[in-house]
Amino acid sequence: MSVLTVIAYVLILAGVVVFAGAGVGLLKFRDTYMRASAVGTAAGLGIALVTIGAVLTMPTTANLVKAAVAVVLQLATAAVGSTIIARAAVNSGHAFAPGTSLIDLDEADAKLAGMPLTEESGPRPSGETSEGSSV
Amino acid sequence: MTPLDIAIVCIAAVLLASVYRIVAGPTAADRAVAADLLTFSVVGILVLIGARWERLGTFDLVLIATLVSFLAAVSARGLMGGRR
Repeated sequence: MSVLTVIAYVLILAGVVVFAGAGVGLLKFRDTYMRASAVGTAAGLGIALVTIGAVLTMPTTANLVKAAVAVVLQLATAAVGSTIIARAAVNSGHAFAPGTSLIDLDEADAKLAGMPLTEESGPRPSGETSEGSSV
Repeated sequence: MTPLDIAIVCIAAVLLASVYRIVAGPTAADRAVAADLLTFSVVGILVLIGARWERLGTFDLVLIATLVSFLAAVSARGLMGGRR
């Protein structure tokens, strides 16, 4: 077993551990937004590591180019995709878990509506969702 | 059992976890997030199967599957309805 193969296996197993973290987060986290956060970050990084490891097991020039493009695309689009899903969830009124701080969301709503911020824009009671203008 | 076999089994377990989340829900957004992870798992299994049996066309498929998974995430936005 060559040194390159050992490096490839270490990268693949590291990627699988990160990816399994995304799976555990999807099962265990309490609301949609935490799950989207886990999937967007961990799955993108995990698949990128697995792809780099796999290309090191058969490193031809064509494979290296294709894998480099795939890794860049993966890192660029994974977080964007899950953020799009989470934003659509906010806009369609999915509930936040109890204890989530909504101050930033209130500020964004007020800015979009063109209204000055009040001092009372604290976290709202749980279960209540974003009212007013779309984010 | 090579490390590649172990990796394929682990990613298949994540795939089953996302299928469970799609079945169990409870909301449409949870299903959309789980479908996102399911497409990532398919990409990962594709990569590892290509490395395990040394197929030549693997990374072409991986490139296409990466793009399709992003398009799937964007179109999953339509699952939830509501305001844009």
